[in-house]
Amino acid sequence: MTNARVEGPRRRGTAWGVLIVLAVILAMAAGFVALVAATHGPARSEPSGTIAVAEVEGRSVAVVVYETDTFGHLDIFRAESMGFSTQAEAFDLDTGERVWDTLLFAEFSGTEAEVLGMGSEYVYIGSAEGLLILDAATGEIIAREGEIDGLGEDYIASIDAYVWDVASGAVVLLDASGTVLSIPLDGVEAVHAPAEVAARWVDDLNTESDPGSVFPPDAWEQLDSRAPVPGSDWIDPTWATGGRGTDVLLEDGTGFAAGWQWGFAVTQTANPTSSDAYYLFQVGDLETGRLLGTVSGEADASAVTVTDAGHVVMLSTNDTHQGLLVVASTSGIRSSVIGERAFLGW
Amino acid sequence: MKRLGIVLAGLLAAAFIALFFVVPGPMISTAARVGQGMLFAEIDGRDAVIIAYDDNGYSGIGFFAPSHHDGRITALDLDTGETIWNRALDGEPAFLTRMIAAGEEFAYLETTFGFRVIALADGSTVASENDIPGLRDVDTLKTAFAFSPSQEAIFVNPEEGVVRKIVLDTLEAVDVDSRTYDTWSCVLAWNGHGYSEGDSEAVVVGRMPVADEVRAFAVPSGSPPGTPGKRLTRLNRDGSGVTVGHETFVDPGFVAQSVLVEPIPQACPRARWDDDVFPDGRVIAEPLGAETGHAVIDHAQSARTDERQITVVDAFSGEVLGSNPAEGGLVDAATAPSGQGVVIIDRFLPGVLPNWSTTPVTSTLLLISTSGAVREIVLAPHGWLGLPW
Repeated sequence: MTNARVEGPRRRGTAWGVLIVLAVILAMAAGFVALVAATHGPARSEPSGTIAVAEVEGRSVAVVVYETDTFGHLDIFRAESMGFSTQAEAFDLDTGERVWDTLLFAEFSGTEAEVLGMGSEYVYIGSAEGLLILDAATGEIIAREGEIDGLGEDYIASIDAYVWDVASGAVVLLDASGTVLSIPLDGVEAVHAPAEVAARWVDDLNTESDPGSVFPPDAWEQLDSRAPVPGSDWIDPTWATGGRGTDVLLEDGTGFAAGWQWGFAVTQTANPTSSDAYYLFQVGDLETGRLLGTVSGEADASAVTVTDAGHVVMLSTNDTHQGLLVVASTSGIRSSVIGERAFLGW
Repeated sequence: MKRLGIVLAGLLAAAFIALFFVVPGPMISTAARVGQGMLFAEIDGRDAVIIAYDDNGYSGIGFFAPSHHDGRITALDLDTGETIWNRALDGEPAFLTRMIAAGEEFAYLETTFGFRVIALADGSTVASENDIPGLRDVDTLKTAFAFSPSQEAIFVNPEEGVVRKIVLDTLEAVDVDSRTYDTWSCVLAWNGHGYSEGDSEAVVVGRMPVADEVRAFAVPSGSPPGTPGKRLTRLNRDGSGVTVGHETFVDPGFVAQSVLVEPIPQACPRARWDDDVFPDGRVIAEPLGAETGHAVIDHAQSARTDERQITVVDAFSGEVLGSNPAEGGLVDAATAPSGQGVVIIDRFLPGVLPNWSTTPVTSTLLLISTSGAVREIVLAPHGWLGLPW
């Protein structure tokens, strides 16, 4: 009897204690969620000025490198670098969906890096810390800096020691002893560069004492108000709305309107509804002059790239300081946010 | 119950103390930042360098050694590296302290709190501006102090349009004659306005005269121009070069001190621009070691990193005489009258355990003997309890 009288209040006291602890935990969790909700928003992202494109497992994929600054937002993945990181991100060009997003460097203020090129198996990224090779399908880092076969610890930590040789489709690099090496497309081992390739690059590799920043990209300079296409001196972009400074984006190398092979062209027009630098990117059918689609961006187009599968890909930014990957094709035009972060910086 | 409480309290205290050992870097590393410039003097027959520095290092369990956390001034023996004396700067931040000049008895400094004269014998403060006739009640934030080696005097403008001088080892500022006024009145900036006072920090230069020859760096013969490793090279008059030694240096340059130039006599009345007073510039770069036949080279530790290294080589044979990491790079450099070189560098000294949150930068001194040997002096090192090492 005595024991029963004593244990009754104890049990009630224990139950209250548990309830109080639970209430405190719930309150802390609610506060945490509120904090995340209050700080969750668009993190800044800035791409470097190159885009690599390839067919990967049946999809047309583009890869860009960007630096992001999530400072001010709750970001547990970049706590050490105060929100800064340099990432590589792959997009499906037909759907605009993110295929993968890989953290390359988590250093305060970011690390200079740019995508050099890619094949169906590997992506090659040059950086101020050295070369990185990523799996094109998953974004997994296959080898980085001192781990490259045939190069090892003989690498140079300078972004201008690595280039993409378009003619041979290979990464070309200089090693610390002054030898020009190359990594053929979809290879993972550095070998002596063929003589003609080495001769093309030997005087340019690692010669900049201060290579400068690759972020943000330079505006695309190959554009004209009336662009040529094969068989015609000029096309008139009648589909472009607005009227303040409409330009057609030109293809690198040929100087023709980018997309002409597939019967479309892309224009960049200053938006007359906005007083600041605000652009409309529009796709028009070259035969009919019909407008196929419009997206907007805050920055001039840059890194205009044409794929073999019929896409014209380029970079811009939106009004929340995020990079945009803009993809135009015969089915219209679409933009995807580069470096969009989810809960807690994921 | 009481015993349990004592045990828990003991465990808590032990955990608290253990934190200072387990939490890396900040608790146990050094973090010194040097002031502007350095002075050389002879103290008790020893060649000495005098510098000011802030001790910003974490003091471990701080209450053991709180007084060591401040601005300090110290005199170091250039031959042995020993500390001759080391004193607090009385609460004044050392990194803003400028070392102006030293005589045989006194050293003269400019601090954020004013003008200071210290005794070279022990570092004690002898006088501030209010103790010096000719400087009393001066607003030192508006004035400028400039040292003239040729006249062994410090020139100062205690008020607009006035120039006085303090001869080394004296404690008074006296009026100058009109000829001296016309030389210095436009050089001394009043209230932040006037000619640039120049930068006395170290620089890195690509060429170095030694004896009647010139040294530079060049990629090995036949190598691509971007080859990181470069060799010390003797430049011939026809522009060709001959390699000196076999060492290669990545991103190299010669460490040079910036020496302030004295103004053209009596140029002020007709001067409109800096060039009228300093036709060849306010400072000239003098590579360290030229007098003793050494090249003091600032270079990257390898092609894989931008962390730096200071290496001393014989300028004629290329033999490496001494080398020291300088991860954070060059801060200051000067040559003592006795021929030794002093190079101040930034090091990363993370303490016993690595530090994931910050780069533990601290300034250290490299004393370069006349034979080229390099000795590193760590400023303000602290042990785990915060006490100086």
